[in-house]
Amino acid sequence: MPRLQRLTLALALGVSALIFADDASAFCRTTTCDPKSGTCDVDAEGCVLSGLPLYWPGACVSFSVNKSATPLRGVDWETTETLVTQGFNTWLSVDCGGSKPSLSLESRSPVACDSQEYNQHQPNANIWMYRDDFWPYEGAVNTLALTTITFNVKTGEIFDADVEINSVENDLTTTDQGVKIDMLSIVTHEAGHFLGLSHTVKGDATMYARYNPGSTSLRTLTADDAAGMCEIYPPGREADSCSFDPRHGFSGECSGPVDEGCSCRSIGAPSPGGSAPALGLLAIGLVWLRRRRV
Amino acid sequence: MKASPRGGSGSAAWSRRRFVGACLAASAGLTLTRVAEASLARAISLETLVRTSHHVVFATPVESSSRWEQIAGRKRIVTYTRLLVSESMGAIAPDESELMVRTLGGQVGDIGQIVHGEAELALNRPSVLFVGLASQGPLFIQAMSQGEYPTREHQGEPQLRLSPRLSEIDADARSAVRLLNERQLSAARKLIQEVSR
Repeated sequence: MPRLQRLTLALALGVSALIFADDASAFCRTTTCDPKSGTCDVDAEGCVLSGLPLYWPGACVSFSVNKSATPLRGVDWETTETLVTQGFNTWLSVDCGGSKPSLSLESRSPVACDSQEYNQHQPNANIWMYRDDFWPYEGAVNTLALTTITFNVKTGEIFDADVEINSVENDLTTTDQGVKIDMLSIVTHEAGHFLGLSHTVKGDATMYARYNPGSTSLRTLTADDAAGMCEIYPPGREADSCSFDPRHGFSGECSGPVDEGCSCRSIGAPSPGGSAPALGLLAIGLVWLRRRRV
Repeated sequence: MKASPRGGSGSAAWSRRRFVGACLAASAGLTLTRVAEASLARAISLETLVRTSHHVVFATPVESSSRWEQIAGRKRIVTYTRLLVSESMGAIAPDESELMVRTLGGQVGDIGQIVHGEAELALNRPSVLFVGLASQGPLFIQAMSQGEYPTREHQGEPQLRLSPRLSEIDADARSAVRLLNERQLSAARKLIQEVSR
């Protein structure tokens, strides 16, 4: 981008930030810091401040809808794809100082795979899927949707994202009348997570962590949501080239199980991800087993 | 869940063994990515939370281990966290002073999962925790982040806060998150014990 154009864009974003300063300061980006480590800097509202913020590195990203969709709720994959596209377009059409965010999305639907998974050495897909039979997470039947984002902890680059919707436990609706749990509201909120945003404390924002059944308010973004989107994907950012292929290529089929190992941490050994705590606990485990046998 | 061969709390003994097993698996290769999650959930009442929990404890997470596991045939990263129990607040007290719970998400090498709706269980942070018991499998935090209330000192006593991961829908006046947020520990104990009766 020419220097003058960059300068103009920076000024436009600066003015935009000033205009929205009062309302746009609350959004929270998901970062690489794992709160379970107990080492993250967190603000008073619970937003993790340390670590690298997450983002899609390329200019283009694809998503896929599972072909089964939700017969239980009478929503087919085409309707779901339309809703997900609409949810994403809401985010992609925000005004970032006169320009749009530097990201494009494309559907690769339908797909056969109905699992949340990321394959480190095989093709992938960013799948939206329903759970019509049972919600597989113990003690969490009250969950409405789960979004899983895979990313590089050293760079914050997002590699993969999958969304599971708990259709077996929730009366989802897709129209503007007789709204119960509004699919488009939920999809728009989860799309914000898909793109790298966490929850905000702004009560009227789409990324606020509370939803009132019957409401369609989450369909519409606020200045706080828009500011978050523009920060992650500013117009003119130096993104990787445009490819809608997921990491390692596209596949709509699930892969088999993997054994990726484990890591351990404890108080006094707060270095998540390093081999030292894992090996330290390996030693402790072996000593413990040895004592048990004596 | 099977009983421990040496008696006592099957869950605690089983969990400790699992934790050691998880650490033994730590020799597996480390990788270069990490995973994050987010969720929305229905708010549940304090009464339901207490009724569906096997234990309600005031405890401190002191150690954790993450690994890949199959849950309902799907690959996920989970974290086993060892809790030091300071006090039992529910109807059923744990047999031992430690519990091991499994939560969704965590980190394996440079791969991890963050579940915004899941309990966080940050190390060294005393919390009131509602612990569920699976028919087959480990202990877990009931209702994810709605079953976790980290505390901080306020007027000389721990005060309950909402989980940083909390996200919910339809939280009414009877919901646990409304009733327990910013309660002093003594007041929360009284509420929980009243509901337990």
